[in-house]
Amino acid sequence: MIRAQLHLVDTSGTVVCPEVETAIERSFHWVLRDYPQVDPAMIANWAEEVARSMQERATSLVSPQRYAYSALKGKVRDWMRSGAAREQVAGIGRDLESIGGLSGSFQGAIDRKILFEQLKTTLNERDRYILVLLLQDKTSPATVANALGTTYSAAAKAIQRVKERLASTLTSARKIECSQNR
Amino acid sequence: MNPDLMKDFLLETFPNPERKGCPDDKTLEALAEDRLPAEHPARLHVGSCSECYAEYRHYRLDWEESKPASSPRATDAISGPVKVTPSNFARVTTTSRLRAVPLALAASLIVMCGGGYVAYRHSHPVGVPNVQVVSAQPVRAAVDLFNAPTLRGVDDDAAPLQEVSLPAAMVRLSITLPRFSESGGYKVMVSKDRAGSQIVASGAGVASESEGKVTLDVALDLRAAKAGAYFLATIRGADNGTYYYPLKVR
Repeated sequence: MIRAQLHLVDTSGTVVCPEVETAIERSFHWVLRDYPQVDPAMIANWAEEVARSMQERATSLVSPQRYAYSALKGKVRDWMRSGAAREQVAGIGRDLESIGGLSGSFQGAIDRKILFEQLKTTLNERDRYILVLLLQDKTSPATVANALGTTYSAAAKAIQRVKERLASTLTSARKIECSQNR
Repeated sequence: MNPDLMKDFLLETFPNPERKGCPDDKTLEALAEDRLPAEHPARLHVGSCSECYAEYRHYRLDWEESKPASSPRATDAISGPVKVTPSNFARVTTTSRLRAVPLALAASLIVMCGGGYVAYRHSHPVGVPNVQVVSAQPVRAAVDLFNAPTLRGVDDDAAPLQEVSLPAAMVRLSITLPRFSESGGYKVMVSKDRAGSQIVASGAGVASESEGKVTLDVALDLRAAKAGAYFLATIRGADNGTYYYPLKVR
């Protein structure tokens, strides 16, 4: 299905090399997953642009996959950043955008950034890796112990510690938010 | 814990656009597919680099999508098990049924193929393969050509010949040469044809006369010879006279 959506040719209309094709198709799939609220046809258009530019410098690309994903994601981010300036909101557009995930709230963005900074200072490198595992449903101490190369009890304590740190940070953030609302 | 918020935290808080210290794609892919050891440094890096985490997450999701539908998706598990309510009962049961169809088909195929194989093995017992056993130990053999007519040259094959049979092994062959043979040095060859173009084995010895019979002892290595028809040639050193006898290697 993804293959049928993309027309990957270079500037002269020749099909791009297989490495570029694979990288673009996979990146297209990833970006669709990252930005489900963005029109897939637009992402497909950007993917074809990235494929053309990649084909021109195909020999100098160290990692086509990494390049394609970064470039395509960058295009979507640029569009989202400048979208508000280019588009005129009419009717219930604002509500629809917020439902779709395009929130232009400055306050919300700042709050979010502050929260993330707090989490960053609270969680060390090891805690963050445990968080990565927890997000993958690797929640059992046995799995975490295996991934970290520690004992079962140490992994259980580490998971507990991460959860406590997350809870304390999020709870304090919520308290601040409540007091501001009053 | 809000998984989306935590995911965004990892995706936004540790930007590394120049990808300093990042592992390569293959390492991230291997990490996402649980193919790296616990002590691999890339593991901790993933939690400290937003770009690597994004790639790692996609590799992981791709891998989970490529796996059979029997294992639950990570996102499903984070949000908890699906509760069957009157409103979603039809959807849940239909999905479960749809997932079960390929599994049931695969299971029935495995059972059918397994049963067929067992039946085949039962009706066709595996016997000992017909392997030619080659012995490294020298085998003693004697060939008596005393009364055998001799064939000299290529075209002289008018008389019926006595066939000689030898094993495919190291053979210490004692040949009683035909009547009126002379003693002296002989060369013995085993060849596929009488032209001597495909020689399988050869040896040399000195024939000596005893009790009116000339006997020649020679060692032949027939381990490489396949079972079949050959010619045994005796070549007298004095006049290079060659005589051929049919030979069968068994």
